Amino acid sequence: MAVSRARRNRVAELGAHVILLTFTVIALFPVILIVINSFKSKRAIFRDPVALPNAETFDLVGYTTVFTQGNFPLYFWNSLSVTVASLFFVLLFGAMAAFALSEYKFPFNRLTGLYLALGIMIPIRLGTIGILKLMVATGLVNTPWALILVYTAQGLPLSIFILSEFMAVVSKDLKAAGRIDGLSEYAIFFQLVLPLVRPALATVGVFTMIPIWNDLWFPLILAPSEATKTLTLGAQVFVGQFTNNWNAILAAMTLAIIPVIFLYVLFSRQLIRGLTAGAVK
Amino acid sequence: MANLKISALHKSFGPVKVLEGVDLDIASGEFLVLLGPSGCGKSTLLRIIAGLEDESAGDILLDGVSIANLPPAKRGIAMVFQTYALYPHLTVRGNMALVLKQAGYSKAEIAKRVAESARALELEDLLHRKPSELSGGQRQRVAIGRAIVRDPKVFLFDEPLSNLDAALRGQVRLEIARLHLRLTATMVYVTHDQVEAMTLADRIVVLNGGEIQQIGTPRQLYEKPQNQFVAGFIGSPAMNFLPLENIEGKTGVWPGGARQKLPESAPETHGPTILGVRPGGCDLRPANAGKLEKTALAGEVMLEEYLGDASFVHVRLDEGANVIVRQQTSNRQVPGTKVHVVLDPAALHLFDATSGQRLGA
Repeated sequence: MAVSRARRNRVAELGAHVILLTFTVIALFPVILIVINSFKSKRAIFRDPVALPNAETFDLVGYTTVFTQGNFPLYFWNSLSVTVASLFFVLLFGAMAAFALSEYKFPFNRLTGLYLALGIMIPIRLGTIGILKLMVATGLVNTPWALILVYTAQGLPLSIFILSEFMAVVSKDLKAAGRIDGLSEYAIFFQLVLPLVRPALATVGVFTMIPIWNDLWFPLILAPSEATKTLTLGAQVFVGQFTNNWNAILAAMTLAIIPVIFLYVLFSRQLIRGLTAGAVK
Repeated sequence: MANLKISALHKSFGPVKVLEGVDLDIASGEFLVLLGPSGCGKSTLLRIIAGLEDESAGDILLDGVSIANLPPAKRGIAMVFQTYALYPHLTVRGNMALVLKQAGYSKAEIAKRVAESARALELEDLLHRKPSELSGGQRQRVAIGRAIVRDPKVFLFDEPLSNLDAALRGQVRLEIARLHLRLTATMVYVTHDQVEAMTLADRIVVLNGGEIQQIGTPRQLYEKPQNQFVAGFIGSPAMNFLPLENIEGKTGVWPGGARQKLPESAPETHGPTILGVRPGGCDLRPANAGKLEKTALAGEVMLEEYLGDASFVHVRLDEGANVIVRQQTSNRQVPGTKVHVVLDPAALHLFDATSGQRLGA
């Protein structure tokens, strides 16, 4: 009996792994295709796209183009600074608003929360013309602040929505103890509450970061100048009307993956705890 | 040490009235327990004293000075919570030192005070640990340590033992009792557990539905409950309640017409009355002792709960009511046996059937 159950479990386990592996392969295939082809000569890319680079087809021309043409280290830095700054403001203001909504009683508390969450459903791009007018009027066009402000606004609804749920379950007694011990509301927020919702912060962080890093729309409209170009926008120089410089595009895309992976690893331990929090107590 | 006075305190959450005009006078050094079923407003009252909730109306005076408008940290109170509420990112030492740091004590003074409190609660070996590395009992000791380190005028306890298992509960209860003897501080303690209330309290305040039902020493509450609620709430198993038709000439009349002898203090005459008697105030007689018929209540044994030193026999009376009778364990009762329940007149409590108020002294 025990043996047969063990065997059945092993079969089930195998099945689950087969499904998961299949999914992983499907999900990773385009990424791997980009990475391996970025190391091949143009001819080899088209002759056999799925082949690994060998001595004959190995070619770093894509990378040399990326680093010599245009201003890629700058674009890279622009993307990174805009993403990190936006992330910082989304998490800070999102957490603060979530704390206020979950902790303090005031008129229209729930209504305010719903109003803030509405942004999840309404794409910010619908307001592009208004945003552009606003940025022109305030003289922020072609500055990183144009992007940071827009991305902060774009990330806040989800951030407030998720974080206020998590803040609501932070022990009431703990906050009360802080108040009795004379901690200020800021100290309670930063020292007691924020560390306890760290997994939620990581979750929100990842969900906020990826769309910002990948965005082409707002950099194109609000900050297309050479000095403020982001990586995604910068890579567009290799997309021509009639021909594409595939080596350079693939190399730029491969390079663009690295910081995302780095930030993900930074968040991932917290993230997994965040995703499973509540499911397993 | 300080006396705490609460006058005409009201609290409502929107349309829901939680406290309706609570008046309390807590003497300096007194151990006062707020006791009541869940939702009776006892925790809200404590949180209002602490300043964590605003009162809707009324005042709180500490040594004659109103503290109702002060923030929690300025009230000279310390609070121990049911969930311990230790700061998870700080060590035991950090937890105890935080309040002193906030209050601006010198490093040397903080170290001295933390060491003193740690010694008193035997926490010295745990000072470097984080709360997550402590057991439940240890955590609650740290929470108590965090409260005593600031030397407050009033200690507030919000169900501090409810999260502990039974064995630890007794131990920490003893610790709190010893603490009160040693510090002779004013303490207000909220619980729904009557054993905690009876063993710790100088005086107990029984609350129900946001109103004070009775204030008194544990003995007063047990022996002279002012109304049917207090009578039913204090004591385990609960008091048995049986309806009397009326009282005539200091004698109770059962619905069937049989007579019941009442205590000396009973009123001469009264209308519909509820008769209360604790399980220890009744006894069982075999059903065939014929001459008991007139005064005793006939019934049938439903089941016997054996507790070692005594047993509680559940009897279903022929009229339909249930009565719990405390018996010597030697006197075994078999379910299904016909019995008579006899009541000790001296052990009877009488309440008005409509108002629930106590009759007689």
